[in-house]
Amino acid sequence: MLLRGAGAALALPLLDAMTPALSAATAAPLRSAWFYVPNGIDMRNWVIEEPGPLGALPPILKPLEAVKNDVLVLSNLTANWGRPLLVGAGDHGRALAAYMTGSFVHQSVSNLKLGVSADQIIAEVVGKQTMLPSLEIGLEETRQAGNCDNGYSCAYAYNIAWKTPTQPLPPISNPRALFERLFGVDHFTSPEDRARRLSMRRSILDSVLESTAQVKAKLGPVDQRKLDEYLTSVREVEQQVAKAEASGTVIDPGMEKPFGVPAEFGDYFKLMTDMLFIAFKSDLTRVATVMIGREGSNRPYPEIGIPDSHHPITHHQKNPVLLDKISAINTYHVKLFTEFLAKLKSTPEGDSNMLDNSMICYGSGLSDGDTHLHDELPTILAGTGGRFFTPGRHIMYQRETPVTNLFATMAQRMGVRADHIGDSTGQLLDLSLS
Amino acid sequence: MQFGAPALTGVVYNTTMSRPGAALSLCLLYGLEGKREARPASIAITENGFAAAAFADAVYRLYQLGPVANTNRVLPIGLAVDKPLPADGAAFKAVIEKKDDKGQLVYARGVRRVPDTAEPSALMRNSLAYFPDGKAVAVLSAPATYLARTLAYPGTKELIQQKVQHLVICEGRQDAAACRRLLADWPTPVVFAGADVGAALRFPAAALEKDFAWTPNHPVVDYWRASVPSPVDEPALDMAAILYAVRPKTEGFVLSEPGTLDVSDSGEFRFTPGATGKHRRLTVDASKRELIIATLRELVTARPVPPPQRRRMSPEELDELRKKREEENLKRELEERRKAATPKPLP
Repeated sequence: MLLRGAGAALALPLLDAMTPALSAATAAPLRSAWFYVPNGIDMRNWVIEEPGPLGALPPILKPLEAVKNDVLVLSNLTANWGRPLLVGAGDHGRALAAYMTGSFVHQSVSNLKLGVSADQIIAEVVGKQTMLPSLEIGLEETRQAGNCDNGYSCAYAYNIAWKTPTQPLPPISNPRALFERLFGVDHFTSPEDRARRLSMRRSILDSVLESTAQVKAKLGPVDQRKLDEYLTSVREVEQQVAKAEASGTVIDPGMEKPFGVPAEFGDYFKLMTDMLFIAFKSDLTRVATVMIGREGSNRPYPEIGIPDSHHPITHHQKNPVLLDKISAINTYHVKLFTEFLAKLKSTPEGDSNMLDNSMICYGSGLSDGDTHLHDELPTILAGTGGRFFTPGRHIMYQRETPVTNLFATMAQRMGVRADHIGDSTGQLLDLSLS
Repeated sequence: MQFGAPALTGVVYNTTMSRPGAALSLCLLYGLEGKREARPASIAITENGFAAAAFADAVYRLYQLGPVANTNRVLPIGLAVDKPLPADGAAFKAVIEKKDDKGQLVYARGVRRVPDTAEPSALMRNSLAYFPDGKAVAVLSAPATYLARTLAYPGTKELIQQKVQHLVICEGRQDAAACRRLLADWPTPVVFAGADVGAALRFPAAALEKDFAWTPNHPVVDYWRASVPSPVDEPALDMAAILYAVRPKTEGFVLSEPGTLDVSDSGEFRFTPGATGKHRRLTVDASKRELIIATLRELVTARPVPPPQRRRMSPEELDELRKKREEENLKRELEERRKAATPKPLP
């Protein structure tokens, strides 16, 4: 346990005392991750008609067959703040932004206002125990500025993780940058060299903090806020340095440092999730988000015979040719996701495996991408959160049940007591039958 | 204002659906929608069985001319299922299972099982977001259990303050603890409609004979007949509450001076006049009773009205709209920046 974990120790005994059933300790660390797929799903080939044990899976979910008994399929969850409501267009920006924050998305290109995302609410507590509080991965180049969707900033359509209502955490999309974030630029050097470099980094940070403090007093309120956010980021880097110094170990990633982005999406997905796997296995972090694509993604998938841009074909207007293409993309994503799950499952950990000690949510803030529906969201929960959930089932909730209720349940299981996550109204029932 | 259409008042209606008056209230809501005045924001059914929700959905579909809207617009019907569901009422079942000569179900409906209904507390909260500020009202004709829960969700009190003009509470059996919380915390005016309002305003059973003749089958007519073999005039408490909520200036409604509404442990209401009170009581001017009944009768028995046609815009009009929206966005951005840059005065 790191010294920085002292803050968490204040909260955890309280949780154990208050909710022993949900926060029972497990030998291995629990992890939570979210995989977000953009542009909705061809729901014709996703929907399971009846609740109960998972039987024959619909076409898009077929690849899950190998891990069918390790997942829950959840139906009818809603992201209300993604809906057009009084605004109208801008569904893609809202869909992603509202998904994990459960918050109203302020329509603006420059003045961002949202909420804190579920992963960051968890990372705020659990992240103190690991070198990286959380990891944000994206499989597409990111844009942070400009108008991406009818007056909504690109920041809404490109970021799923929000540390504060005004500060998104841009996902890392470059494999090399991800590698270096996890293992350092100098992971093959000696411990002495690492110590020298860390020391140098610390002195630079000290210098930055000193100079910014002098400037702050002279700034207006908006600039002061921006500077505060900047300083928070700097302090987090400082904490990471401290944790790295304290651990004094060099993690062997078991892979070469990657250069460039693989040409095929499948290889890209595997490379990035392999690094996530190592991050989880090495306990570098316990919280992660993976954006399979940004909302409104135009990525083509020539490797599976679909050279068309993704987003345009999701406006299918019930054209069966386009729908089949969407289904193929959706199935491809689930196949890649399943491979990641299988890797977790095949890795023993204590008396179980890594998947058992994880909660991996796969889903989207849109169900039908054509009409931009923000309810009946396609949702999979993989792993059992330390053998707590009862997998292998399809659960149908009542309509309007916030998807953030699932995230609140995951947070509770991670030992984080959050009054609410955005618009959550409680915990999801029935995930566990015990 | 959504898509340039005039904003209708949204009605959040929490009902037990335990009397024909509640079923007639659904017709009233669609009658007001036909007049382009109001529309149901959400219908949350509590303390009743699944068939009541299926029935409410059948009524909704009768009044929706043209294709049913997608789930961004469709009216969700809420049903409380956190306690064991009461048995289905025979009259509701008779309606939803009614078949024609060919053995086909007479009434179309989308609510076929519990997951097709919505969780009532989340529904009532979510449905408010569809309406502009001050363009929603709430009518409670059920124990306050679920509305009090809605009010307690983080941020919802502020949302209600922003959106809801007033809450009208109908006299009836109550969950005393929840109702006290509701009365203490509700952030906008509260009006109490006692049983005396229902006694004063009775919806004429005679309307069954000819006022609904525009359709060979009407679920509310069938339900009223199935629940009361020889229908008599029905107390119009819920209908009056909805009419007042949407049209508070209706001639014949009288609002008391302020006072305090309380509920006893056994669930009975008591209104105590007092200048510092936050609540008011609704009464009926006896001389205007027939006028109100006539208004209700006209609205409740009105034929469904097709929604206004949305004309396809020409490319030039679309361009103009786009430019207008961009200008509005820019104006808003500049205003936000100006506000953000203005230092707040010290407290």
